[in-house]
Amino acid sequence: MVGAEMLNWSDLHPGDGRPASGGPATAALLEATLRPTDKVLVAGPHSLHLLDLIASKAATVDVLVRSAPDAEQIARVVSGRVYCGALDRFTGTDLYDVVVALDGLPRLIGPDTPAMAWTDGLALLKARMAPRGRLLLAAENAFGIERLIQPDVTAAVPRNADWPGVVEGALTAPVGLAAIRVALGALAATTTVYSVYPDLVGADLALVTPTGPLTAAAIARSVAARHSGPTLMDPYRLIQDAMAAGLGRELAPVWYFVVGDKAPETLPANVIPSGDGVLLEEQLLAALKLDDQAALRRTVPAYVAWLHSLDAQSAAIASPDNVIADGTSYRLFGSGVVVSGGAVEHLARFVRRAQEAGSRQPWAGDTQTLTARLAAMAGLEVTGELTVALDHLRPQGQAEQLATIARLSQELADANEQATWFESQLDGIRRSRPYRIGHAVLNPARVVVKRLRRL
Amino acid sequence: MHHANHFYGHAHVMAAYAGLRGSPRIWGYLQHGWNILDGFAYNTAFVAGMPKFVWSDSVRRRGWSMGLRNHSVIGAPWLYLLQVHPELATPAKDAQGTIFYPFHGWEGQHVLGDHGRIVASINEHEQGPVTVCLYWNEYENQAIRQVYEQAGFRVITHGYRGLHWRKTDKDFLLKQLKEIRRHRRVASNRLSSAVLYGASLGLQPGVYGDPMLLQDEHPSFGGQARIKRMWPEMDQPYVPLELAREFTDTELGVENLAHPAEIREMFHWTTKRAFL
Repeated sequence: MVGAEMLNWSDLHPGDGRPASGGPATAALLEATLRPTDKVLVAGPHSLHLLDLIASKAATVDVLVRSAPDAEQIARVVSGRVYCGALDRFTGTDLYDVVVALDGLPRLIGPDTPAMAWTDGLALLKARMAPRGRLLLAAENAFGIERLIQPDVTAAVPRNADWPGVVEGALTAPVGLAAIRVALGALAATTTVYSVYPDLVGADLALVTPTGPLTAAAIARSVAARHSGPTLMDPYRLIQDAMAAGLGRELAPVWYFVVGDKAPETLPANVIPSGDGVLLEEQLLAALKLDDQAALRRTVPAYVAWLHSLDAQSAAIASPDNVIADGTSYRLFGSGVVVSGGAVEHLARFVRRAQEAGSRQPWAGDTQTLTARLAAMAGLEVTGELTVALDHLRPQGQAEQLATIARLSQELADANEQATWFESQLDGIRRSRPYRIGHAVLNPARVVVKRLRRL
Repeated sequence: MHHANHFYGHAHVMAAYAGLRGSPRIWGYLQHGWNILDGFAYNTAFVAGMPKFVWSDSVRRRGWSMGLRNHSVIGAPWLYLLQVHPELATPAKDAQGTIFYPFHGWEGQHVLGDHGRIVASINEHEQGPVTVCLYWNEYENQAIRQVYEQAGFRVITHGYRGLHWRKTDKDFLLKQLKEIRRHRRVASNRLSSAVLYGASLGLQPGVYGDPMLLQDEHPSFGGQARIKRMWPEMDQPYVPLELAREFTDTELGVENLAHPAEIREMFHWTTKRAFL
């Protein structure tokens, strides 16, 4: 106990807060940087899984956490010393080869610390680094992509974890990457910055250069999976578009700062398919948006032909959002959703995703109609009801809902006008002389035929 | 949907390509001739939201800019005719001379101009035998026909394009294809569908002579002046073949040929009702 510990609080098993940090990218970074001779300090709530990993990779591990119950649990897992309390009370003199603060700084203090600036917290950690020691530090982006996906509900309904601190005093990181770099001071010279997605406590991906279409797809998947509830905007498309605009680093929810060490540029390794190409889905969406119908007629048959060449297992997951198109050659992106029903159902999945993402379509129609159109380009005819089209559309976010309402309103107005027009045509036919003559002649004829039959 | 869909037997051609018989109604509006605006006759009364089947991407863009939506770019029916008749994929063995199409009017708009001057310009530019193809209303006009016959030209017509689904010569386009295959060169006094059709098959195209006037031609099309500004390279007695090919590929929409299944899908030719 170093003081200012939280007795009725757990970051490992939060009652009304976020869980401790963890995730494949965090684990990969630790795997890549820790050495068997290292003396390590872990500062802040990291998942037990990560602590296990660190313990197995390094010589000794000491831990500093604010929660008393957490400290007790961690002491049973880690053989080194476990300090319990706030960072400002952590006044020992031990020096460490590596200081791990991959949960960031804010959760290093509790309500008993009235105020502490980020730079002061950083200075305390820095003071614990041995000469040529390394620092693994996380900082949350005050304006990350999640701000565009969901309103900050904690602003309206704050959780226990969000007790109001003091302005500039709750160890919150400076706003913006540039400001953080300045605050890093001399450390910045030996720092590598990773952009981390989708969030701090469950980091799937950490990338030095978050660019390129396949990277964008991997990030988009990760962020979409994290924000699966109601959103302001479709997270998948938002990421794709933000990445295309080169904003992958600026809008990253979190950054990792690796000070004095080197790690692979992509963490975990092999999480992004190598080689060139773009997702087939992006190609198709672009063609639909631009009304490039010739491109659709080239692409869809080529895709369907390729699909037919696959074994059943691969074909089942080869939806356009899981296929990389490199010119006219195709390959799988990664693991995907299993779709049964072959090419037509894959195309239906694409159409549905496009509609739910509010993406522009050249033609009016529901999922079934648009799928039939695409399938027909490859000579496939849709005969039955498509399973993907059975449910009502669920536009991803509020922006997509607005787009869908606008589209459906237009289609409804068109359908009304068509009904009126067809009615006027019918009316014209009924009033026409040939119709009336035909009617006048046929009706008595029918009566005659009926009577004759009765005889 | 619209009777112009059936002009020149276009609906018949499309049905044959789609594997159907007759000329079922098309769900939407089919562009019936090369056109420098939205693909349709001036003042066509479109029913909202109904599909527009246009030849080329340029027509789609112009149409969009004029408020039309729901375009399907499918290429010209001419291209589908070529698919349906692979036996006409090469020129006739005895192909020779020029087929000349004097700019034609139609039942509602007549052409104003001097056919004698057309004859003079044909004689000025053509060496081999000349076939003059008149549209039926000019062909029926003895005086006009005689002008060309007396000049020693063979005078023909491809037939009647039809009006309000009546008297449509369903083989109009096929007759045109067969005639074009009997010639080495195609010419007209205006850049028009016929020149595109001929040039698309590799005939040496030419545009020369008095372009004549169309009665009450609507100014929104910009007339001949606009065509000449847009495609000056196409306005000469001997248009280089390469230039012509690039032009016809774009304007006929060669890249946009749709699969028979897609035609059936687009035209709503997938239900039995379509054929009643």
